[in-house]
Amino acid sequence: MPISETVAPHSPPTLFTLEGVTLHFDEGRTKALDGVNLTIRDGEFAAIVGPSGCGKSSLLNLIGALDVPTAGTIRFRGQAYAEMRDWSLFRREHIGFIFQSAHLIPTLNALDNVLVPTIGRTGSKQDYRARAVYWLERLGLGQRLQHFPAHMSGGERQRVAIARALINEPDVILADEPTGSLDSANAAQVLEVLGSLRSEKPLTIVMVTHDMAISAHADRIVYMRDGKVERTETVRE
Amino acid sequence: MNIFSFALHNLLHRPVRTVLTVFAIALGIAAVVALTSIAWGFESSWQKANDARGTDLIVTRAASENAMPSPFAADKVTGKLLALPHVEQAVGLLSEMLSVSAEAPPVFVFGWAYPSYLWEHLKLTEGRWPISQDEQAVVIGTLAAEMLHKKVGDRLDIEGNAFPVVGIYQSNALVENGAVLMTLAQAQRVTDKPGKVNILNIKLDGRATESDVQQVKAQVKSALPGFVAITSGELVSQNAVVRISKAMSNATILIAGLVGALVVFNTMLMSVNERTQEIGILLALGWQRRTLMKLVFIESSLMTVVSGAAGIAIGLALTWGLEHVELMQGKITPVFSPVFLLAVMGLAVLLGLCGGLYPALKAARMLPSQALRQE
Amino acid sequence: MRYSLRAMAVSLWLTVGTAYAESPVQAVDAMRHARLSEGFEARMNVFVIAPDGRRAMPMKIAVIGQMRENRQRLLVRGLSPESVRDRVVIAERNASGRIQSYSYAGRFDGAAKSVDPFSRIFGSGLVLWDLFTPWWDWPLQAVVTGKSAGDHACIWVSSQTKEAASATIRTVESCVEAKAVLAWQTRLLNAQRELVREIKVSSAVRRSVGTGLAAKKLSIVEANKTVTEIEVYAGDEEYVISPEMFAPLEREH
Repeated sequence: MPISETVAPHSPPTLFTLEGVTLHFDEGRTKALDGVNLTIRDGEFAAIVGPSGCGKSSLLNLIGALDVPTAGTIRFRGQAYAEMRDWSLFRREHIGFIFQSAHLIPTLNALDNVLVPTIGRTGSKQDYRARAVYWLERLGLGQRLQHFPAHMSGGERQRVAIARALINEPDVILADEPTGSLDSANAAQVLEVLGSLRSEKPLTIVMVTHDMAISAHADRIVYMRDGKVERTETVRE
Repeated sequence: MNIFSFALHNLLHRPVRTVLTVFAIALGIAAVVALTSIAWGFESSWQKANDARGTDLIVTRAASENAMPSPFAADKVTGKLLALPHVEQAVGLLSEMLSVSAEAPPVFVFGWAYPSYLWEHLKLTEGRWPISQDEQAVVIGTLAAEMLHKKVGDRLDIEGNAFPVVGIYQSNALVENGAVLMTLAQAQRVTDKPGKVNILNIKLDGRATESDVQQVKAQVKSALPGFVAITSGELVSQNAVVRISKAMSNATILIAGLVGALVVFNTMLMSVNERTQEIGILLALGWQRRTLMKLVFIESSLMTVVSGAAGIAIGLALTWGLEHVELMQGKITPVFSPVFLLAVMGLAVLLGLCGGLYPALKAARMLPSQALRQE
Repeated sequence: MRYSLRAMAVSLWLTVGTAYAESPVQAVDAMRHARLSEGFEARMNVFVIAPDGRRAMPMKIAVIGQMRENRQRLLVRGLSPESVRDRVVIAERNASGRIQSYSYAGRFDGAAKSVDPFSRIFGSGLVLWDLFTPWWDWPLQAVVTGKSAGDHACIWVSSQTKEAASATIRTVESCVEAKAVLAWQTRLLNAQRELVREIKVSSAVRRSVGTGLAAKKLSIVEANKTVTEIEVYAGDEEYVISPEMFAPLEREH
């Protein structure tokens, strides 16, 4: 049963608003999402949890403008996606994606992988490079700049993916099971990095996970079941 | 890291496929370079033959579709031509393709009015020229001497007549180097065409300008119905053999172009299909669709530009090799112009763009979420 | 690189096609008209292959002719090799269809030998009688159905005569392509309707004067399977017949 939310007057402004968002596959035979209503506030760390196949990743894809909803409206800072002219531009300016497996390009070294999102952008190549080096160093990969994904651990690869997500200075990080393929030590490291980032600058994180222990790091947990938001739970203020 | 180095990385990541693609296109380009340069060389050799003779205009029967213009009686035509302004000389030439040896393929047998200015551009390397127009003798080009295995003092059987070889000459024009040359009177006699020629070479006086040349052409047309006066370039471009060789080179360009574009298309489509997930990631990372298209185009063009350069190198090497193979020696004089080689590079780039077009569109049209789901 | 020929008009296989025949009857008329010429010369390579596959020494010959409505004259001269050099066969067909032919060697010195117009020229499948294509003048001309010759859209015309004067050949079947004014295939049959010779044109060139095609390559297969392959390599469709050329004929008259 969906829960309608109320936002307190002193709360940070709303970043994403989802109203009656539905997503069907196979010409309506499969319902991935079924009338989801949800708001995500600026600077919030929201964890979306639920069993496999409940629609978590589909929801994340819609928020990240990677997919088109069958029905309903999604807004970013009040602007409906349907009114946006260029979704890829929107993603480039505002969103940083982290996937379950790092999805690095195997032929490029760590530094070049981080720079991939800057390809095709105007702007100083030196600045981008400096920024990439900065983030890789921040994430403890200062000695691994020239290393290729095949020669890195899973945790290192995921940290490179985090640096890649940050290179365009996004407002939001959308992470789809970012620790799903990591051991607990590496998972903890990744979560720590994300946590420390939020302490430095305003950054919204929406993370899909099935691990309740990880969701404990979030400000709010969104429980999903059968394509619907079952309830949300605030972890801490 | 920029889009070029990224594209290059992508190509080098699949070395076997990239090399095979480049090699396939390079071979096509090499065939284009070799055949076209040989066809042009052939044409320019014919033109040289006429230019070297110092001929300003050539008068032949109109609408001759054959390799050699039809023969006609020279007398009346010559008289009318000499009456035209600026026309200094009108000299007859009779040519036939005849087999003069059981072992060798047919050769051009030329009969040139003797004496006349036509003979002046040839360089005698051995023996002597005919003594008079009635001497039953031939001089042969250096290439013909080689092909026919004849030297000064040997005999040639031409249409049932024994002709002693009295000299060997060299000409700038390949066609003449491979020919057997006799006086016009002798050629008319052996081919049983008394008084006939198939070409009249006109030499204009030194004062004739380009517009005078055009005027003479017009006057020939009106004064001599059924005849045309053309420049050597025009004659050569009408020549059936030159036309066939050019048509062949054009067909090669077309086929090589088509095959090249298909090869690029296939490679790029395969590459895009294999990289569907990567494309999804790039889109998720904020790549714009036009950047993706640019990537595919740069990859396909990089391959074809390298193919173009390699193809030109192979083509040049191939023609050089052919030129020096004993069987072909002296028979081909390829012509390369920088403009042509530039055009070949242009063709290569065009192949890359054409072959990459659909794969690029396909990549750009992918829905990121679907692309990401692909394994 | 071969010298493609503007070739000539030995009327059997070539034509001065000015008329464009649209019906079978017109086709016969066009063929009859097509052989007319004030003078032509054709030079050809002749290869004779015996039934057992043995090839005779290749031969070069020149065929010169003048074909008028009421008087047709032909001269065949050997060019090479030595064995045929300057051997001449000369023939005339008058308005009544009678053919007289003679042969001599070297320069004509007044001594010509009468020869049978049906005899083979210089040991090849070429026959003087065929060169005159007399069957186009026969009264009986009929269109028969039959398979086209090769890829050519030709119609089969059967020409027949009852005259014994025509000796061996009584029926000639020709596959005529009206547009080309050319018989791609010609079958010559005797009184018993047995095949005596078959002539097939394998390639033709556009004539330099008028419309229509002229044969460039053809083969003649005789009843005993002797094959004669002919390739025309040079020619002149406006050959000037000198007064002395046919003098031996006048002398014999």
